[in-house]
Amino acid sequence: MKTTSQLRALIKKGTVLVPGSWDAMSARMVEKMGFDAVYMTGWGASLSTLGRADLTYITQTEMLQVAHHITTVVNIPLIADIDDGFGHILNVQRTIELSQKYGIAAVQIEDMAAPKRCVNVGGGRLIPAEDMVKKIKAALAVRYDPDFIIIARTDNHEGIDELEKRARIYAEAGADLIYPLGLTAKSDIERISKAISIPLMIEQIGAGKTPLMTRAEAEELNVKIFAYTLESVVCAYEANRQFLERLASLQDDKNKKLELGPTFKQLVQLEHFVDIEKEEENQLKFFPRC
Amino acid sequence: MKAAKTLRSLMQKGVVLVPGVWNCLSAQMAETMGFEALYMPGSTISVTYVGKPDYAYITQTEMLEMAERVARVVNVPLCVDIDDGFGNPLNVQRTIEICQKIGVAAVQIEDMVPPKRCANVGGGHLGPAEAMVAKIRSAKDAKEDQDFIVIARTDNYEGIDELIRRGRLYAEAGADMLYPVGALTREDFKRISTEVPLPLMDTPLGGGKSPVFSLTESQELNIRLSVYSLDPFATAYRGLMSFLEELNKLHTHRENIMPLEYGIPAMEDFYKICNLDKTEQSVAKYF
Repeated sequence: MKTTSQLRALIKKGTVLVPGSWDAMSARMVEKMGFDAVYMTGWGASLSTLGRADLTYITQTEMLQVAHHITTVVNIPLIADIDDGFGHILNVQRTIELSQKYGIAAVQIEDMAAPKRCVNVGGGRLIPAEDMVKKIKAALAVRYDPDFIIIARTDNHEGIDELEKRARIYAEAGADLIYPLGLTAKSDIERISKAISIPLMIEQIGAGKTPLMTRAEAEELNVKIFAYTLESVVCAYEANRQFLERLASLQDDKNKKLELGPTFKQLVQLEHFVDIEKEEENQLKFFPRC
Repeated sequence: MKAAKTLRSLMQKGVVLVPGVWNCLSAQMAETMGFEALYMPGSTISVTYVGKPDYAYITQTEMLEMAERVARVVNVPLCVDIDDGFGNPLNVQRTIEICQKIGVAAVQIEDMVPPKRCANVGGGHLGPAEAMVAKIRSAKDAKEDQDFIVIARTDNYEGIDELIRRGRLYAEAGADMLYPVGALTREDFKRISTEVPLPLMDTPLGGGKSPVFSLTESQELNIRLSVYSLDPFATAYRGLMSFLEELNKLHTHRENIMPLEYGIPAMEDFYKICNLDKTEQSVAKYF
C-alpha cells in the first residue's frame, strides 16, 4: 500500500502516535521500534543539516532532500514539516509535487511570516489568512494522489478567536487536518476541534505551551496525529552534549581517561536499525568471501 | 577572495565584456576564448537545471550548486544572479555567505516580488524600496571580503524617476553597482549614470526593450559590466532545436540518413576545453 493510503487508514482507525525524526537514521529507529508513522521536524532538520536556528534558512531543496533520504529507507508514512511551503504559491506547488514524487505521506504547512518564531518561543507574526488560503488551494491543485495529506498549521499569535477563524477557513479551503500551536488549555483545543469538521494534529513538547495529555484524551479531542515532534532531537543532542562535556574535562587533565560504555556493542545494535543483516547478505551476493 | 578583487580591478580599467554561462562547459568555453569574467543568469539555470520557467521556482541551493560547480572549474570572476536573494534578509545573508565561500565574485539581487517578470517581458511588480534596502544592508553586513560585489537590480516598472530614486537609495544602503532593466532610452541611461552614484551593469539583449550599446558608448554611460546574459544560452539551445527538428524528420522519412556535422571531433574539442591535457597527464602517471 502507498504510504499516503497507509496514513489515511491509520487516521481512520484512531489517534496515531508519531515520534519526530531529523534524518534517515533517526527515522529508521522510529520504524524499527514499531511506530506506525514518523514525523520530520524542520527545526531538527535545520539544526542538524545546517547548524542554524529554525528561522527559514533551510531551503526547499535541503528540507526535501532530508525527507527523501527518510522515505527511501522507511516503509511507514512520513509526515514532513515544509515550513511556509518555501516561498510563494508557485514554490508551494513545486514543494507539493516533489513531496509526492518523494513518497512523503503528509506535509505540514504554516501561516507564519518571516522571520518565523514558533509560538512556544513567541514574537512571531502571521501572514494574512487569505494568503494562507491561497497556498492551501494551490497545494490542493497539484495533489495528484488524493490520499496525500495537507496539514495546515496555525500558531496562536493573535489569540484563540483568530485561531478558530483561521482553523475554519483553512478547513473550508480543503486542508485535511489543522495543527493549532500554542493553546495552553485543553478546553481551547476542544473549542477548535468542535469548530471544524476535520481532525487535528497536536504536538507534545516538554515545556511547550500545548498541555501534555494521554492518547485517550487526545482521541477525545479528535486529534488524529499525536506527534512528539522535538523530543527525540533534544534527547539525542543532549546525550551528545553530555558526552562532549565529559570529554572536554580531559583538556585540563592529561592524566585522566574516560570510562566508556560498550560502544562497539551499541554500534552493532544501532546497525540493526539500518538493516545490517540485509546489507551483509547483499554484499555476500556480489562480493563472495575469499 | 581573489575573484572579487580581480573583477574590481578589471572594472577599474574599463567596461568588462561578459558572456552569460549556465553550466561548466559553457563557462569553460567562455574562459578558453579569453573572456575575463562570466555571468550566470537565473533564467537559464531555471530552464536547464529545473525545467521550469524563471518564475522564482529555483531554490538557493539549486542556483548556488551550479554556481559552485562553475566557480570550481574556471579561474575568471563569476557573477551570479541570486534573484531576490531567495527570501528574507536572513536568506540573503546565507546566500552571500555561501557565495563568498564558493568563490563567486559578484551577485545581482533584485527588488521584484513574486511572481517575477523581467521588465523586458512586462507584467511584474516591484516590492517596497525599503524591503530591498533591508536586503542590501543585510548583504553588506554579510560581506567578509570587502571586495565582494553586490549589484542591485531594479526593473523599470514605475518610471525612470522611481528607478533613479531607488538607485540612489540602494547606493546609500551599500550596493556596489546598479543594474537597471527594461525599456530605457539612451537619455534614461545618461540620467541614471549622472544621478545615481554607482557604476552600472547593462544587459544588451536580443529582443530587449533597451538600446544595445557599443563598448565605447557603454564606457561613456558609466557601464562597467556589459553582460550578454541570454544570447549565448539561446544560441546553444536554438542549435539543439534545429538538430532535433532534423532528426525528427526521420520518423516520417525512414529512407533518409541524417547528415551529421560534429560527432567525435567536436567531443574532442570540448574535452580540450575541459582540461583534457591535465587528465591525460594523470592517466599517464597513475595507470
